[in-house]
This record gives sequence, C-alpha cells and structure tokens, in this order.
Amino acid sequence: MEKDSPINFILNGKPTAYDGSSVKSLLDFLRYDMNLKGTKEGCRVGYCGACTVILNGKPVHSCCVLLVQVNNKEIETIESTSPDLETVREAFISHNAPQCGVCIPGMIMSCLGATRSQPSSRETKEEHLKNILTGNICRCGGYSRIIAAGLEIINSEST
Amino acid sequence: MNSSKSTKNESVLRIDAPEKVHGAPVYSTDFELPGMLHAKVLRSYISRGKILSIDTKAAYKVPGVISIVTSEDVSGGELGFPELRPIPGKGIPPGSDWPSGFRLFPSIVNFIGEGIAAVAAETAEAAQEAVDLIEVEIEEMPPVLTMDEALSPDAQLIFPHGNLVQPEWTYTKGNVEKALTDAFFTFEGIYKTPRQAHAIIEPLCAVAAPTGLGRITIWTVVNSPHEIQQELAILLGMNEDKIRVICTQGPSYGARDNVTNSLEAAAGLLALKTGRPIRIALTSEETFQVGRTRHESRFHIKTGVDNDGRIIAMWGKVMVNSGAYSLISGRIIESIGSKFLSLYDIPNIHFEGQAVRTNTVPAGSYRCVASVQNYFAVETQLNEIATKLNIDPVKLRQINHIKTGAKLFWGTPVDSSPLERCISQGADKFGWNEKPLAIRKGNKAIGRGMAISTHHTGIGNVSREGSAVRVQLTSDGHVEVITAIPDNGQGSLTALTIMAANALDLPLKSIRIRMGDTLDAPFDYMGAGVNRVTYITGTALRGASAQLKKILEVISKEAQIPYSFKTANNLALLADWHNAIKGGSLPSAEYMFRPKELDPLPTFAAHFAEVEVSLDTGEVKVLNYVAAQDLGEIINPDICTLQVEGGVYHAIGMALFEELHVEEGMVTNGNFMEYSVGGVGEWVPTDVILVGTENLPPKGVGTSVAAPVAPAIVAAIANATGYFLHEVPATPTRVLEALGKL
Repeated sequence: MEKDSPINFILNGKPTAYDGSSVKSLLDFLRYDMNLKGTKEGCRVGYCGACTVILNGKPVHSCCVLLVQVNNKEIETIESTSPDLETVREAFISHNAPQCGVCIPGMIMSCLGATRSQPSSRETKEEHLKNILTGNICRCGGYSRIIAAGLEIINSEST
Repeated sequence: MNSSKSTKNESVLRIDAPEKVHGAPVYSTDFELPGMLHAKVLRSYISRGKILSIDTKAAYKVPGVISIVTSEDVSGGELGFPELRPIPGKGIPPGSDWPSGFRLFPSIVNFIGEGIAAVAAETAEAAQEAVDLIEVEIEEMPPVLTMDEALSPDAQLIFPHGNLVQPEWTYTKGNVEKALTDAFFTFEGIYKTPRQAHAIIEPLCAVAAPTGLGRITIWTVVNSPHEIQQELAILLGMNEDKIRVICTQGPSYGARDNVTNSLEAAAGLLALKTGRPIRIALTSEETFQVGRTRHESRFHIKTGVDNDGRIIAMWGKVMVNSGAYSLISGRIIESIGSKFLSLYDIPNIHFEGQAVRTNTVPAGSYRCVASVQNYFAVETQLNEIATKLNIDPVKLRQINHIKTGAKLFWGTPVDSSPLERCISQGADKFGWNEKPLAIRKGNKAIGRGMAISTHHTGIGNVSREGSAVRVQLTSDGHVEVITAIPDNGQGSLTALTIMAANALDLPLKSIRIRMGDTLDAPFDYMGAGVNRVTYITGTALRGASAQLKKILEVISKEAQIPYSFKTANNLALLADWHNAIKGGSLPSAEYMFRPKELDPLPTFAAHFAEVEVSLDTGEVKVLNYVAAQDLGEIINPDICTLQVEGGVYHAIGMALFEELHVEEGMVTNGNFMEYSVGGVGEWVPTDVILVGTENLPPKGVGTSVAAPVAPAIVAAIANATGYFLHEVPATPTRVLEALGKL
C-alpha cells in the first residue's frame, strides 16, 4: 500500500485526518475505518447509488471516490445531524418510502442534494429531483414514495 | 396515517422506517464480530467437470490465511425436496422424493461459478489472493447448456437419475384432441420468458460464528429461517439444534428462499473448523453469477374456442430451465400446472410439464414464481384469440374465467367474486371502454391491453405449509410476538403488529415483535415466501392472541387490575402481580395454523396497460398502468399499495428490458451496468386498486401482483403494432423484428 501525506477533510462537521493508502475508496473508509455503516455497500462500481454521500454539497457515489480526492473537502453522510437532513428523513418516514431499506440512505442523500441545489433553467423542480435520483436504484420499486418525499420538501421550501 | 391505534382501512406507518432512514447497521453486510475472519470462494470456471485434485499448499503460504476447506472437509449430504407431503388417496406428488444434487463443494461441478473451496483469512484481500493460488485439476465433461440439449435422445445425463428435476407431470380432463378438432377456431403458439435476475442491491453475505459445544449461529438474509436451518443441517451433517439462523434485514424477492451455493454452509463449515467468526461477502458480480434466477420458460399452447368465444379445449406443454440445481424446481411444474388448470373453466384440458436440468446458474424462487411464466403464455394466447375473433378481451375473460362454485385443481370450491370486481373496477378506472384499443399518431402507435391472473397465497395443505406463533406478556407491560417469519421489506413487521394489537385490543405501542430467529421461535414452514405471511402466520398470530387475551382477562379479574385498551399500562402492573403472586413464567400462548384446503388460497388480479410504441426505433413506453389486486381482508392499505407498485415494477422489467444472458454456460451481463434494472427514469406510475373482501382471509400481495403485467403490456404493444410478441422482454430489437424492420 502506498503511503502519502495525511489527507484532511471535514466529516459530518468534524475535522478528520487520514494517514493511510490514498487509493482506498471513501466507501471503505467510512464503513470499515470509521464504522459508519449507514452508507451502504452495493455494486461498488458507481451504479446502484446505495453508497451515496454528499461531497462539497453534491451527491456522489462514495465507492468511486478515492480518499486522495477528498483532501480539504467536506463530506456529509447519513449519520450527519444537519436539520435539513432530518427533514428529508421525516418525509421518507411519512411517505412509507423504505421497504427493504438498503437503498434508502443513498436515496436520502440524493434527495438532500436536490433540496440544496437549484433546478437549471431548463428543468422543473420535479425534473431536477429525478435527474439527481437517476444515480440511485430502488429494487423494491418504491420510487413513487421517494419522489413524493423529495418533492414535498422542495415544494415547501419555495412557499 | 396513524401511529398509535389501527382502525379498519386506516394505514399505519412502517415500524422499521425510523432505523432505516438513519442507515442503521441492520443488514447482513453491516454485521461484524470481534476476531472475525473473511472468506472467499474458489469457483468453477467450467460448466461441468470432475475435480481430480485440489492443491492448497501455495495458498496456505499467503500471510493471514487461517484455513481452507474443500470437499474433504464436508461430512454432510445432498438436499432433497421436502416441501410436498403425501396426499391421502393421491400418493406423494411427483418429484418430492427425488434428490436435488445440491451439496456443498461437490466432487463434480455443474455450472460456472459453483464453489470448489473456500479460504478464511484475516482480510478479504488475503483470502482472495489465496483463492487465486489454489491449484485445482478438473477433468472437463461435456456440458448440457440448453433445455433442448438436455432433452435430446443422445443427451449427456448430468445427474444419475437424468436431466429432469422431477418426473414429467401430466394431467388430462375430457377429450382434448377431439375438442380441438371440433372447435370453431383453434389457436397455437410457443411463448418464452427469460431468466430474470433478482438484482438485489445488497450483495449476498453470510456471517457464521461458533458458539460452543459444536454449535454455530448464522446471520444472513433468508425467507424462512427454519427451512435454511434444515438445509444447513443436511449440507453440514449436523443436527438442526446445533444451528441457529438469524435473519438480518435485507432484500430477497425470492433470492433468499433456499441456501445459496457455497455461502451459508461454507461460512458455517469454516466457523466450525477455525473456531472463529467467518464472513463471506460476495461481490455484486458474484451475486449475479451464482444467485438463483427466475426460471427461463417455454410454453407450447393450443386453444380451441367456439364462435361465441367460449373456450372448449386447451392443451399445454411446458418446459422450464432449472439450471444446475434448483430446490424449488422440485415443485415448480406442479405449481405452474395448478395455475394453468385453475383460472379458466375449460371442459377439455391437458397439461404436461418438465423442469429440466442444465449446466447453468441455478434457477429458484422469484416474486410470483410459476404464475409469471404461466400467465405470460396463457394470457397472451387469450389476447390473440380476442383479436382474431374480434371479441373484447375483457368480455373473453368474463365468459371463460372460473366462477363461484367451481373447483380449483385439488378440489377446493372457489369464490370468484374478487376476480369479477378486479376486472370491473380495473376496467372502469382505466377507462377501458372509453378509448379504442389502438390509436396511430404519425410514427407513434398507442395501444391498450389487459390480462388477468391468479396466484397462490401460501401453498395449501398439499405441502407441509404451517405456521406457529407464540405471544407472551413481558415484565414491562408489553405483549411480545415471537415468530420465525422475517420482514424482508414487505412490511410484515408492521402488518403483524397491527393484527396482534387488534386481536389483543391493545395499542400498537404495546406490541413488540421478535422475528426471524430459530433459537426460540415456534416452527414455521415456508417463512416469508409464497405470499403467505398475513394469511398463514397472521391467522396463527390471531389464534395465539385470542388465547392470551382470555388468560389475561382471567388474571386481571383475579388481580383486580383492569385489562382494556384504555388502561394498557396496567399490563406492567399485571405482570408484577403475576410475578409476585403466581410466580413462574409470565402468561403466554402458542397457536399453530395450517390451512385445511389442499389448494392454496387463490389471489386474483386484473391489470390494464397503455403503451406508446415508436415505429421507428421499436421503443416501448408505458403511458398508463392500472393494477386491480384482490386482497381479501386488508390489513395496512398504504403498504399494500406500495407492494403492488413494487411487484408491477419488477414485472415491467421482465416485460420490457430485463434478461440475464447466459451464453455457453456463462452469465455475460451479470452486473448493474449491463443488466438493466429500472431506475427513476424507467419507473411507471401505477394506479393501484385494492380490491378488499371483508369475509375473506388477508391474502398476500407482494408477489401475486407480478403475474398479469407482461401479458397486459405485450397485448398493448400488439394492439399498437398489429404484432403479438411471443417472447419477452419486448426490447426495441424484438419490436422492430416483429414490424419487419430488421
């Protein structure tokens, strides 16, 4: 394993340093170094979205992010205590969105990313949400509830 | 929605949602134990061959490697098909006493990906490095790769008892040949459905730990902990009481209905050998490669109808591909046959079916197994008949479907009124009579189609079907429900909580459910599979709850502590009183339920689809979908609606784009990039109609909903284009081929 100088970043609001292999994935670091098991492990090739976290404000697949890429950046996971994340969680509960639930932390982080960003001039709010959710698969087929939960928050913000 | 007390037709929010939205570590892949080793599996790279030697010397030299197990370490045997039982006067159903061929690390490998050995090491990387260094010598044997090869007269016999999973199953009523000759019209077709992958997001994973005195505990996702316990006991040559199975959270859709090749049993074997906890976590690609699939099927059907649309004869020959080993294939033909023979009332009918072994990835349970294949074929042919005779497809069903008073296959009288309501309510909601079946708009064609189906809730008394549930007062004033049933995401935790609360006249918060652990749960055969939980386990739970309620009422009188909904906190006082005055265990009750009827409870559906087909590209877009679903008594409507949506989603995948490709025995699109599953872009909003019937038991919903989807969509495509596809998925290539444009 190659060694590099420590990597510094903010993880769920706390300054964090990592001094190990810089080619470790962010997913493995979160789950197996930090024991943050809320970020779920699915396909590991950047397709299913179970491992979605927020990196500098944007939802990313943590399986495809190497630690060397997070130096001086800010990471937020499902374990975060941000009030707006709590709002998304509550919307997911009230819409009965989780079934088996493996995709849900990733779905919640993507919805959080959608609520924190603005639609482009060519998108409606719903299209904006759906475009961000294209990075997440729910194999239980719970999309109606996931979309409804996300839209509820996006629509309430603008009123 | 309500979170305290459930009343009729009011939905309750999922009880497990709060922990799931926090990403709680409740899944098999989240599970870790101190001192745990990681194991990787050496898999066969050929389709069929005899293992001559396995050399592990180089592998053992990898730092961190603790133990390697091969066939030499296995003292267990081969699984059978214990599911069916002898029927008085009818003998043992065919196939139930045949061997499956399935064992841990066999001396002959039968598909690419089959486990040969497993390595336990301090890290997963070391285990994989060692796996790559195991030298294995295999004498290749000619494989059987397709159903046709398996049944050809000079076929290699891949198991000593032949290439059929079970003896051919045949049933005939009336004179089919004559009726087909006499019929006003005769229709004939061959219909094919593909292998479909469960494509579970969480890859397959099992953790096993030695717990002393030769015992092991296994944490993994299962449908039926007791069945997995029995299977592991056979595979490992151990007594069942030495194996504890605990079901973690995680997806199934049928994927976890039986043990997986070289997963749970391999972890258990290594745990016993090393004395340390073992984790076997497959990659997503390995999960696609060795996880069971939906059975590939081929149906040949002939139907004879009178000029008024009355079906007078039907003949069907069915073949399904079970792959190398398939535990459920021991009864899939019986299951398909009972569907083929049950939905329509046909005086002359013949069915014959074969489940065929091939040297390919094993098939198994998958949401709505047997019915999905059967109704794609039967309903597509009926839709073709409707088109050719110019009869309304809805009317054709109404003329021919089984009516109240008629008997299901094993003789149980049917109540068809839910089916009639599914058809009429679905047609109304869809506006079936308001628009033509085909509308052309330039290079786009819009078509509409429908299909009906029946699927089983439970398996009926033809099987060992049965569920026992225990309920007990706890010292802190709750009632604890103990069941081996797990909740794989269907919502059974919440549904059973509602049923217990209502039966005991207590608030939801007074009920606690302990699920999916064989340690002290009363025996439950079949688990969370076959659509059965609310009916079979639910009925057992209601029985146990009624008994406990009586006991608590007696004690409450004696203790002069009122037992009622409004004074639920008195349960704790009652428990205190019982401990002080009576002593011993707190009051409890256990109840076992087996349905008396040989036939499973039929669950009906009528679905309606509107699609838009691009005549240039062959792309099909579902514009409108209505699913009317028979539920009997409805326990938790909102979750039922979601289960219908989920079942339709899986089946639309099979109808339009999902197919696991197996070429020369090799899975060639086994990953999420190449195997398309629907994302938010492919998701189709579904109008769900829950058709409830108060005096019927709570029927299953999660699986039965998938059966009519593909034929409804294929009929809509046919009405748009003029061509009935006989094979799904209806990919753009297949549509263009049908249009003569390729």
